[in-house]
Amino acid sequence: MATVPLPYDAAIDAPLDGHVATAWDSGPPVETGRFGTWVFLASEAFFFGGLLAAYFVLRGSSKAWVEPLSFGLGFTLTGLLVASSVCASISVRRLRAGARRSGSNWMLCASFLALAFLGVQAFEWRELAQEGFTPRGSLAGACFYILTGAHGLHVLAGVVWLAGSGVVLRSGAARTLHAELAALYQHFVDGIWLVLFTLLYLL
Amino acid sequence: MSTGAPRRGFLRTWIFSVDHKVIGLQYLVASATMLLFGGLLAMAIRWQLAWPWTEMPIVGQLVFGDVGRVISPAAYTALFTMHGTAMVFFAVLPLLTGAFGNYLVPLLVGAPDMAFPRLNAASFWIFLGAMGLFLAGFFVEGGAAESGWTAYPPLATLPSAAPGSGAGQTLWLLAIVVLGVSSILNSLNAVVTVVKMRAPGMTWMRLPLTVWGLLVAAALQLAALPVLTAGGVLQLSDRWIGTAFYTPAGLLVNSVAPEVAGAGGSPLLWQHLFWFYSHPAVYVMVLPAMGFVSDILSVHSRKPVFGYKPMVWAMSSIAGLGLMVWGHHMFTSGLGFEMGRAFMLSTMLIALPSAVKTFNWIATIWGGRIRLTAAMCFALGFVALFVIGGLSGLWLAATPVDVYLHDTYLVVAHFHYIVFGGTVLAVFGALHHWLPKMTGRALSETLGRWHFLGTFVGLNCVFLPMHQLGIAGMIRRTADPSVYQLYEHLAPLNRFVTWSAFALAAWQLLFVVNVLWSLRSGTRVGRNPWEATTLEWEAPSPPGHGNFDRDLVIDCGPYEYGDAAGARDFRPQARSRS
Repeated sequence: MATVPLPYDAAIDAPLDGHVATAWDSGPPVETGRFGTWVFLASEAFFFGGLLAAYFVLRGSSKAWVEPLSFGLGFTLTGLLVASSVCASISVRRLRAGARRSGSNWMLCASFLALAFLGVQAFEWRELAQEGFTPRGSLAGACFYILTGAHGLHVLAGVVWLAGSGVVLRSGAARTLHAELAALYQHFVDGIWLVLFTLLYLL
Repeated sequence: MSTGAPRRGFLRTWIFSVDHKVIGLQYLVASATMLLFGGLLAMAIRWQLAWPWTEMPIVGQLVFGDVGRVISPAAYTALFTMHGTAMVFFAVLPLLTGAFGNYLVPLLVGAPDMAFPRLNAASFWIFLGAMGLFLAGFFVEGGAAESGWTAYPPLATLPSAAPGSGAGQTLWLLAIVVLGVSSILNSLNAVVTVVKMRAPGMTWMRLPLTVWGLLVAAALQLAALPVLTAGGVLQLSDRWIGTAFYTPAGLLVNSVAPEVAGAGGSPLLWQHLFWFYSHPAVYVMVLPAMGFVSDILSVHSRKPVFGYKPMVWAMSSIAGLGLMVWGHHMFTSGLGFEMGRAFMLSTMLIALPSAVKTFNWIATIWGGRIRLTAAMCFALGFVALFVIGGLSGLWLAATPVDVYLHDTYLVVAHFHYIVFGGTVLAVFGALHHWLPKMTGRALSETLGRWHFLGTFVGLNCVFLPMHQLGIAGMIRRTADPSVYQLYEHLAPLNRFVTWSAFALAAWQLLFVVNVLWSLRSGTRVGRNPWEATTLEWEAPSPPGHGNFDRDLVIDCGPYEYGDAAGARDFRPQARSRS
């Protein structure tokens, strides 16, 4: 039986020369970046899950829950974000068909619509605050501003990501994967909004 | 370097590197520093518990010079808050997922690096930022956070609640939220690396258990940590914007109603959100350690891990169940009888996979040709003490028992057996096992075994009597047990614990000496000093940039030891050169 640890033996331990290590590809047949984005979005879903759990607990145990929200504004917001998501989808289809310029245009369009969403949301926040619906005023207000605020920051990231990939596509440098991941992210943010819209504006 | 990579300067190599091994070592240094720091805080806590309100020699002058060289009640509260936070969030978690996770995952699956190297570097720098925010708490007005490592509201949400509930608490919260971002990025990287970057032939059931432990822990972080982040966002909002998520109606703080307009929130909500992460965090702190121990036991007893697949399923089910047991921290907070019973049942179920693992470890070494290396000693120590910590956990999970024992020193004893007796011993074992790979030099086995012996005896002297203190009713988080007459007879036992803790801390110098000596003049080792089978032992020690100097093809599972493996009594996972 050998005495461990074994000492250095140049015959077997000397490094081999001139080799460059290979990066392997195992697992599901998708790009590493796409798989990583899936994992990231799954984790994000748990973040919103935590916020929504708090919302359910507080709303469920509260006797007076008043959300003076305008259905019209909520519907406008939903329309803008869904339209942004659709534009991102069209962009991906155009890119896959090889039309970079048109794909880039649709991407920028998606970014603009998401920006418009933020503009309308800022307007809504100001109106609500003037009516006295503030985060400090009531738990309903606190929940509304934190949920839409956390979501709004995600939309802001989407605006930057979509615009960035739209611009980079124009220069012709980027692979289309980056644009596809931006679109995927936008769909996720859109999906979260549909949940928030249902809970805050409809129920 | 064998890979022919161009030489880089010190900064590019050691500071701004995107190499997973350098990032792993950066995490190792940072979290070992925090381990040392957290240990020193523990010494101050022990001083106060043994000799309440007496002047501390030397240290008292330096740290508490302006308050009469004694620990004030507020300072004591800050001490145990910062000790717990430093140890859990900034020492043990990053040691496992940051240091070993980064260093070992690519090597053990046969990859040249993590899936997203720059993201990996970013996660370390964000971690350092969180560490800075955490430590800054000591230097702001009112001092460091004082609401325990659990930061329960309203103590943690209302700045008027205590001196440390001001800026110190805000910094604490920010540190935890920022740390969460870092850990999520780090875990994402680990999961994607294991799924997407395994070398040809490295199937799921050929992964070493260390990889399984780190993978399951990373998946657990990805699911549970965002929920704590969400809870932290709400608490920051309570502190900064003045919302009342966690502030109940009709609350009085120091006989004054706090200025919160929309009160009616729920302090219990924070406990749910906090423990939804922080209980699984316990499993994040122990699953990788279980993986290390499985590997070390197998290599050093020259036998395959007994029941490889049950080990994998046990780890996965511990993680799955671990997401459903957080309520056992809240038995006495008004959770309700039915809920308490459900959480008691789910908690006790965890004993099943844990017992599967323990029996498998024993069966692994049974009849093996045991090499009693320092690494092996620590792994055996882990198994012994994990049993004690695990069983007392099972005991605390029973609601009738917990109603009596909650918030006593028995709880303190229980989790220190798991985290120190379990995880920290496993980390020492893993360092003895893998540090030769990281540095190319072996640690001293003699010194290592002495270090093990003293640590094992010392930590039992510190934490075993705590069970007795707890059963006698001594509550945790009290600065001066002597004010209660019923604890008077416990004073000698408290002093014994303190002396043992001082000895245990001093004994750790042996390990520091061992590492420093090894870096300077330890025996140089080659690729495979332990005659082990897994892929990291195919690479040079230390591995160059890109890790492996040949392409790997994996032929067999990770534990092919024993006579059946051939003349050398082990069969490496990678097909041999030629």
